[in-house]
Amino acid sequence: MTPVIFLEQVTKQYVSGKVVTEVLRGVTFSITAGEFVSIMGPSGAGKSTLLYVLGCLARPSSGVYKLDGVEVGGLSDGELSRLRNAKLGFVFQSFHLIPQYTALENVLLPTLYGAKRGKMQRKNSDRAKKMLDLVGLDNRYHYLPGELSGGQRQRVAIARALMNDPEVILADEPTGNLDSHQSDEVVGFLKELNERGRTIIVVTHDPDVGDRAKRRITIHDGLIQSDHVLEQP
Amino acid sequence: MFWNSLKLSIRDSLKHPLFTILMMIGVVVSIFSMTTIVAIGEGTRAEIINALRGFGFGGDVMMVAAGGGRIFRHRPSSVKTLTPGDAEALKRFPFVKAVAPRQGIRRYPVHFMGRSFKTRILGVTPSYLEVSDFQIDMGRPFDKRDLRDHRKVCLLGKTVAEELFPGNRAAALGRFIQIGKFFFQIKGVLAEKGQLGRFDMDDRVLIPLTTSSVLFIRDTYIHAISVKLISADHIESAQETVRAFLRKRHHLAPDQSDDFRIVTSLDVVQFVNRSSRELTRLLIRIMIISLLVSGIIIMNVMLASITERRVEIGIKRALGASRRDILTQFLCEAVWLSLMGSLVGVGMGILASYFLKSTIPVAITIRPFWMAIVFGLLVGAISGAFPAYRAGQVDPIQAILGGRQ
Repeated sequence: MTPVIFLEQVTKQYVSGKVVTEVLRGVTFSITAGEFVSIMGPSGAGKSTLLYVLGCLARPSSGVYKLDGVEVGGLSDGELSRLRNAKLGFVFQSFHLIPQYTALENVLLPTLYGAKRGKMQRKNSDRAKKMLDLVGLDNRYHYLPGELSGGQRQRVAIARALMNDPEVILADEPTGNLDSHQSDEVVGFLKELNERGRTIIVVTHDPDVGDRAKRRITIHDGLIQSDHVLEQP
Repeated sequence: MFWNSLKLSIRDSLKHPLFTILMMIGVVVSIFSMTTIVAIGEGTRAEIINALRGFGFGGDVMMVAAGGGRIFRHRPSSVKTLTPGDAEALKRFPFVKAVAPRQGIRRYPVHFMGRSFKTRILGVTPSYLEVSDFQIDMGRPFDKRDLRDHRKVCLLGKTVAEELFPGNRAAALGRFIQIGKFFFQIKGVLAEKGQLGRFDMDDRVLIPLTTSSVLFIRDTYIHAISVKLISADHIESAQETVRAFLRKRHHLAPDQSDDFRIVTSLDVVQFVNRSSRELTRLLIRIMIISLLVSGIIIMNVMLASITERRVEIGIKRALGASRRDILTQFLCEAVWLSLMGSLVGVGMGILASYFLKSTIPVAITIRPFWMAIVFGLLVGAISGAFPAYRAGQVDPIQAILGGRQ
C-alpha cells in the first residue's frame, strides 16, 4: 500500500542574510491512509516547519517528499497550490477564518480555488451546509466568526478543512486557543473523522491531545526522536 | 478563471468598504471634473455654431474686413484699405446677391430726455438689413435719399430702444436722440435678434454710411463689407475670386500680403473648433495629472489594504490559491474599482451638467463615457499591477504565523 505521506531525509533551511538556520535535519517517515498521527516536541524543535512542509506551503531544501504518490519538490507554485487544494485540509491554532466572511462563506473558500474552482456552486453550497451540520453548527450558517465562540470557530475551520474531501487533515495546535472543554470537543471531532477513515496529522505540544492519536512522532532539534504506536485506552 | 477572480474581487471589495471608497475617490473626482468640463466645452461650442447660423452669418455670407493678417484680431478703425468703390465693384459679380459696406464707430453714449445708454454705432447702407438678416419691427428702413443727403436719421436696435423708451418702443418713432454732439431722428426700430454668446446683437444704432463718414469717421474709408451670395454652394471659389479681384484693385504686388481679410462662417466655425481643440488639449493634460494622482492613491490604498489583509491572503494560499490567483484577484479589484469610480464620476458629471444647464450651455455627449471606461481600465490596471504583484508574493507561512501572535 502506497503511503499517503512519504518523507525521506527531508531537510529545511532558512537563510536570512548570511545566517543559515537548519530547522529540519533529515526527517524520514511515512504515513498510510487512515492513520491519526500526532507530532510533538518542544518549541523550536521544528514541528511547525515540518507541518508546513507536509502542507506544501514550504518546499523541502533537500530530500524527497511524496504526497499521495506525487513528488512535491519539482512542482510549480500553481501545481503545488492545486495539490494543496485537492489533497489537504488545514486547521490552525488561531482558526484563521476570514472575519468578513460568514461561516458558510468561510467553509466555501476551498471551492474557489484549485482545478474545480467556481463550478457547481449549488452543489458546493449544499455540501458546505452539510459540513457545518456535521460539526454541529447547523443553525449558524450566516454568522460572522466574531459572533461565534472559539470552539465554534474551530469547528467552522474543521468544516472548511473537510470541504474538498481531502486525503489528509493537517492541524497545527488546533486546541491552543481553546479551553479544556472546547479542546475535548475539537479533538473528539478529529478522532471521529479518523474513525471514518480520514488521515489526520496533529502538531501539538499538549500531551492530552497527543495521547489521543494512534501514533506519536516526537521531534527534537530537527530530528525524529521517537516514533511509536500508542496504546488506545 | 477571469470571471471567477472578478467575482471574488467584487465580493471582497464590498467586504472592505473603507478601502473601497478610498480607492475609488480619486478616480471619481477626476472623471467627474472631466465630464463636467467636456460638457461645458461642447455645449459652448454647439451654442456658438448654432448662434452664428441664427444670426445671419450663414453659409452664404462672407465678410471683407479692412487690414490684413490673422482673421480674428481687433484692429484700430483707422485702417484705410477698403473704399466705397470696392463695395460698388463687388456688386458686379454674378454670384453676389447684395453688398453691405459699413463703418463701425466705437461705443458712443446716446441720450434721450435725460436717459442715456452707451451703444455701438454703425454707419451702413440700405442693403445692410438684407445682408445681415435684420428685420424692421416698426418704422421704415433707410432709403437712397437718406444716404445721398447725409441725413441724421437712425434705426435703433431693440435693446437700445428699450433702454431709452422703456415700456413703449413705439414712442421712439420720429423722436430725436442725441449721439455725441448731433441729434438724429429715429426712423425705425429693428426686430429682436438676441444674444450671440455674450454679444448682444440688438445693442446697436444704425446711421447712414455717408452720415457717419461726415460726422464721426471724417473719412470715406470703410471697415468692412458684408457680401451675400446667391448661393452658399460655391463660397470657397467666390472667396478666392473676390480675393484676387481686391488684390488687383489695391495694386498689391505678388510678394505683398493681403491688406484685407475675408471671413466666412466656415472660418468662424473653424476658429471655434480650434479653440475648443486647444481646450481639449489642456483638458487632457489636466486629466493625465489627476489620473496620475488617482493612480497613486489607488496604489497606496491597495498596498495598505494588502498589509491589512495579509492573513486573509495567507489563508487563501493555504486553502489552494496560487500566487497567480491572488495576483489576479487584486488586479481585478483595482480595475473594477477604478472602472466603477469612473462610471460614478461620469454619472455625477452628467448630473452636474444637467443642473448647470439653466446657467451655462452644456452638451451631454457619449464621449465622456468612452473616455471614462478607457481611463478607468487603464488607471486600474497600471496602478494595481505593483500592489497585486506584492499580494501574490505574500509568504503564506509568515502571514499565518503572524496571525498567531
